[in-house]
Amino acid sequence: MEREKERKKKPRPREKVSSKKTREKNSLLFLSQVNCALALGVSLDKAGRVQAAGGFLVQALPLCSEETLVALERNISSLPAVSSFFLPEGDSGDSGGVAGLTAALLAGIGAAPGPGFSLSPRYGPCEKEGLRQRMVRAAALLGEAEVTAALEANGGVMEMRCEFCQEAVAFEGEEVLEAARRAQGGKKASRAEGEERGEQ
Amino acid sequence: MTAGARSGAAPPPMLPFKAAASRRRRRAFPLFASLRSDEVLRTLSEASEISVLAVDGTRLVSEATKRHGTAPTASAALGRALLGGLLMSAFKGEGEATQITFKGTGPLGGLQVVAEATGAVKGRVDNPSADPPLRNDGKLDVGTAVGGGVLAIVRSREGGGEAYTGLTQIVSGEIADDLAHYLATSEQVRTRGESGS
Repeated sequence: MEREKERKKKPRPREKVSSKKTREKNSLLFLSQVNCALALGVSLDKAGRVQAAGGFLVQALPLCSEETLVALERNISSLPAVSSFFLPEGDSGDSGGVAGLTAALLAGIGAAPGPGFSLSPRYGPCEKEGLRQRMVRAAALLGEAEVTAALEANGGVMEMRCEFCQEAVAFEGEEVLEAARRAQGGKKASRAEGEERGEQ
Repeated sequence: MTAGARSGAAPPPMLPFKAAASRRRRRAFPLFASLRSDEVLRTLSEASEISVLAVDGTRLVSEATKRHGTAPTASAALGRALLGGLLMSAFKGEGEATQITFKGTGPLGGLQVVAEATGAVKGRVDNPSADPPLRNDGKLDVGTAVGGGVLAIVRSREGGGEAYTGLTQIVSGEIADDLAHYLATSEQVRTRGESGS
């Protein structure tokens, strides 16, 4: 069974308005500022696996007519749960994907001709080579003494895990120690340079 | 007997490498995941009055939750934050990155997302096993998992330029509401937020 959560929140206009009713009515109608609508949805199956995930950010551009804003607000209010557009075909969702969602948002307004601009999102980047260099730099900041202690405790190997991609990389002792020594040497040199300047 | 039957059975047909790889992928992911790929689509309305940015990040969020081994509520929170980061950074200037940090007081702890204009996005949570009880209406309680606290958003550009940092209060912990609140108060872009999982 899909767990579906939908929560709608009233907009927070920055203008002072006299009544709550007015505020609701004019949620997307103030032309003095840029108006946006943001929706995010993640649908999980019974086992807690991601079934569908998607969202939209709609922005009213300057000189947007009031009729268009009214139509847009009507379209947004009548949308089903945003994740339903990305559910597998045959499930209860609309399954229209990004094109279907865009069409639903621009119903009665019309889309500009052409396919629009698209890009393929991806998780990352945590390329292994770059990751390795960043990890060595991070370990070097610990200092030689701490690196030595960590290596001794782990049998001469230091394993580091990237918190973003969860990839673990193991380093031989000498590689990390060398970097720590270089960092420490650099620090000492810059300190000595600073002291020299102070004396002068 | 079984061995005999096995040896008598016709061997499975050999597949070209590409077809075999495709079959392996289909086994690894649910069927629907292989049918469509993730996409961010930007469309203008006919009269260029409205800009629509729509994202399908099913596979991306699925990968993130697998990498981090998140519990359902943490999955929803991380997924929403990844999608929000994507929408806020996609199609921005070259080398521009958006870093979203929820410093929440709830069981989830901190939640961090880094998104680039090219569509690359990554994230992490302090406590991937955070999974508070469902709300009374049977929905995942992302708001409680995140808790109160501060939302920090840093917009930076590769190779120089001062980074723009905005700080706002976490209003509900439901991610979309908080990002909408940030856009309204910090970037002064009036936004309506909606979250679902």
